Amino acid sequence: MENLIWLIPTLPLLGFTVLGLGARSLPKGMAAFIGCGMIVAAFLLSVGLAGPIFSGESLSQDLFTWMRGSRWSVNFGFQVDQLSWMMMLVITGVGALIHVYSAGYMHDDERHNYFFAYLNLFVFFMLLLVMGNNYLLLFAGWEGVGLCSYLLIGFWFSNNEYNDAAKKAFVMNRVGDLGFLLGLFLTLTVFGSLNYSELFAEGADLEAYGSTAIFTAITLLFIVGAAGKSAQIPLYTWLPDAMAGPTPVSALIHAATMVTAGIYLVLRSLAFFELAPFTLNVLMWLGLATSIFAATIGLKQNDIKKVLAYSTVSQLGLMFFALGLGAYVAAFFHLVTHAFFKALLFLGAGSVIHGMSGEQDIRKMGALRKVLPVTFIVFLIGTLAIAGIPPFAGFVSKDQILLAAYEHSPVLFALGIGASLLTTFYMFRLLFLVFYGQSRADHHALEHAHESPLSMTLPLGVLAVLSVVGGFLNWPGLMGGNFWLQNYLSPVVKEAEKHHHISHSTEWGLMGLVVALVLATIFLAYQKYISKAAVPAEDANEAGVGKVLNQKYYVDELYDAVFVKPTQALSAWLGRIFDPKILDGLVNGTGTGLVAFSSAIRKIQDGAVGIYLFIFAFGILLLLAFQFLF
Amino acid sequence: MYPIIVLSVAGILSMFIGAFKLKKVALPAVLLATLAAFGSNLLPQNFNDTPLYSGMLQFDWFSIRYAAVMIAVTLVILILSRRYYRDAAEHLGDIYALFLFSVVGGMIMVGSMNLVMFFVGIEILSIPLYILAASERNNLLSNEAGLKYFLLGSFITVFMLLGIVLVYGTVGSFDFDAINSFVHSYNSSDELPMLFKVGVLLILVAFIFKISAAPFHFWSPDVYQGSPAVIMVFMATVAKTAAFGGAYRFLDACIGPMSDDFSVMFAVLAALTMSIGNLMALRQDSLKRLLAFSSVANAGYLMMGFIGLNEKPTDTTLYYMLVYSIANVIAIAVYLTVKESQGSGSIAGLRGLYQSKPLLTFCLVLAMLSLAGIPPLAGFVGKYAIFVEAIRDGYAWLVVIAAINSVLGIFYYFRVMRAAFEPAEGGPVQVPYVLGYSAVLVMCTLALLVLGIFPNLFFGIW
Repeated sequence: MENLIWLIPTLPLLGFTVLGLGARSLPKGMAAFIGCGMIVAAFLLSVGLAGPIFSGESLSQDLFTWMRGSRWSVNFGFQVDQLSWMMMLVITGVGALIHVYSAGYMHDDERHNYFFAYLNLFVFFMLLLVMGNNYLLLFAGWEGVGLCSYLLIGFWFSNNEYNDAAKKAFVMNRVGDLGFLLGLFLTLTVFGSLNYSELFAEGADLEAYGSTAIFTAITLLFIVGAAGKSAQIPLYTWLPDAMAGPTPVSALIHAATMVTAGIYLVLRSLAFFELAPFTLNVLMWLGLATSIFAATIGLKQNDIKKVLAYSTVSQLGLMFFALGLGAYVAAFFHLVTHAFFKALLFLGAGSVIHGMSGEQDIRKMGALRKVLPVTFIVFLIGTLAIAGIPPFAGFVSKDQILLAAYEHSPVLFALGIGASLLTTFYMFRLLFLVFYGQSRADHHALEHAHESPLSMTLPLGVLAVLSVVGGFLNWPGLMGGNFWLQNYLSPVVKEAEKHHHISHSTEWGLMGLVVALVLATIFLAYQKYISKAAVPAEDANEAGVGKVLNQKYYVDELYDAVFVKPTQALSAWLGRIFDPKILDGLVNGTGTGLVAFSSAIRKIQDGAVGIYLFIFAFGILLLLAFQFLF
Repeated sequence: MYPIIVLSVAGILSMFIGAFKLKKVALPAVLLATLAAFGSNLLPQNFNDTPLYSGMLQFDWFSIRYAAVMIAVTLVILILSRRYYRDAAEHLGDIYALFLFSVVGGMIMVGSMNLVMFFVGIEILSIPLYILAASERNNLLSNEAGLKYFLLGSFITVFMLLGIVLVYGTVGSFDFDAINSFVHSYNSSDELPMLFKVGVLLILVAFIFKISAAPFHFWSPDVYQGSPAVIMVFMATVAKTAAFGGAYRFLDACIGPMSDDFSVMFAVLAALTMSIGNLMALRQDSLKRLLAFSSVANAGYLMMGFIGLNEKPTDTTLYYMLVYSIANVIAIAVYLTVKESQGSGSIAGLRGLYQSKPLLTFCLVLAMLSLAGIPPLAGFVGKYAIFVEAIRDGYAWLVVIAAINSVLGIFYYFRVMRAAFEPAEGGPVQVPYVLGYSAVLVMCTLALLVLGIFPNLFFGIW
């Protein structure tokens, strides 16, 4: 089994190749079967590695030397340890469910086969990202998933808005990648290697290599990368726009897997982060700020997927918050449970959209619980899970994060609760507006409203079960559990030293407080959206704070003014200097006939060549001066 | 040595073919000759590590490697030129002959061990290019490109000659070995005669011009834009490979230890070149002009390889040049197809390509991804290797600039990709089929993928 590790990422790649080449000739059923089959097979193969993984081993398989320079080399090889194995299970497991769901969701799309090809390619790159045994392979996967994300956001490319969303995701990710790449170069310079086995070898004395400043620099650069990929301030704006992609994509890439790559990166590099306390602090505040900031925006969004998108940003923030607090296991635990319930919520939302003939505005829904009973139940489960009602998965993982916050300081604890209560409020707002109250849908949509086919409801059911029981992965000792996940991860991820221990009674008390507050928040939402049957105002009618939130704090406009416009201006300015208009006229004149040509040529005679020669001569003088005077 | 002979003879024969109007034979004959040149280049007898002909030429591993890349890329360009020259009535034999002569010049340049031979090589490389740039006789833009290239090229040649004269004046020899021992006879390069140093710099200026690096890059967008597309891609790939190879030969074999003196200058110029190239490429609507500026930007990355030349192999540069050439050839091939069917060479003209030609789109996408440096394609490996070497030489600031630049580059490469996926207003376009065209493109594309995942196929051979 262990010799077959290479096969796990190869299967989806094979799927991509077959589907990509046969996209035109394969019947849809066949394509869906291949697409799903590859992921299921990869999942089963991953499960097959359970034996050695559970006994605490780390498996590795070196395939060949990827690159060799005069003074460095990088291998192409895989490494499966407890951390990457769990990631692989999430990727292939949740991935397989979403593939099955897509078979139903995308059934009528004319580019159905391409969709599966891209999804398979995505899974390949994601597996490469978590399975690679060095940072360069991680980066290759990192770029690859970004590319697939770009392709899938813009999947319905006939819509220009969608293309812009894809482009934005791309830009933001590029900024992040730049940071990550520089971090990698710095790592290579300092340590002379990018292989985990050399960097993080047992007993390796990293501190001997550099000062705290070095580690702080490397980790900060990594965080820039992580912020891009995992949609943290200031690079989060792409994720809500990315909802333009088909809903299964939002579930797989923009909720369960790709966006968690940043957390994986931090966990993978814990040895660095531990030596950079400043970065951990940055991480903590960054995560907390993102969490609250995104949650407030979520309060005023009216697109069912946008609400979920901001909720994802907010939850990812919570994970970074936990990482910053040193609660690494809790962060990873939340990553796993979040993959379950957020995938569930997205797929549920997809089922709603599917049933409502493409409607996404929650103001045009309502009372759908009778029309879409199965979807309603699973959506309810997902909402309860994310809101943090015991014993659902989200409660357990979030509680462990909040507990870690309390250990740090009660203020952080309070802020953390604030973020999670906001989440509870907008999630129930969503639930109530969509499934309860009076129907506000137009007749046409309502007539055609229907429950989704089995291929869609089945994955929903599985994810619903996982959202209920996922919490038992790391059930707290307080409630008779044994922190299984924590013990399981211990060969790779070691929790930071606890500041001070919390007594059982305090722990019970905090837990009770959180649950009580959550229930109170649900009641508030109930009051507003069911008892008073409030319906969100039209965007144009929003005012004051509501308008600011509805317009997402105008961050997009701000970025446009601060970054996009100046770059364009710089490029245009350079254009005037370095690419004289004379020649532009010449270039563009091809179609405009003889008049343009003659005038262009006149301009050449006017001295374009003369100008060039002059610049050349000047340049030579400049070089002489540079070389011999300074 | 053999490939120089083979291609020279083939070039002359090709001109005969033109004279006897045997148009149909021209391309197969030239392809055959190019293949023969490629093969003969790899013969063991071709190798020698002491200079031949009174110390003029040396076909060591370095020259053989560069020659192999140049001939291979020429071969692909010649195959693809079939589409372009399908309807060309006259002078086909002459045009092919000029291609071959130009490659011969390139090989002489990278193999030369004497400044005179060196100069002859650079001229044999350039003069056919001047003519080729203007070869589309009925197109004013092409005429203008040829003339402009010629004027500016001669201007720079004058400086290069002056440089050679100054070097000769101080050393008393044209021979690389003699010049090298002259440099070695001084303890530090500070003590070298001023005239010598100025001479060397003037020779380097010619290279900076040939590789279209700042501040002598102005000519290249205009000339590239005006030249026929097939010629343009030849200039951007083969001619540049020759220029880089020649520059290395000069820096390494001729001035040796002194080359470190120019590291800072090269670093600054590299930073300038890539920044200008990328920023300018951002605002281009014409695909050809975009590729021209991208060529400028890539010259910037490649120049990073000139830094700290003394203790590193030049493999990385050649690898980068090879994968850059392949990607460029693919892009131009797609451009030609689109131009033919749409009549427009703008990026927007690519719209609808995906609907009518998915395979071609696939090739274009991979080429763009490689140019943009996205792993695991070959372009990434090339950039990464060059960046790492620069970091090792202590030029971290340059790598930061280069990394920022490579991000900038991604934007316009992706604009091209995106356009190919957008639906066309007038529906899918029909493109006539040309024998072997797609096959060659797919092979090139696969090469990008394979070289990216197994770069040691390249690095390991030598």
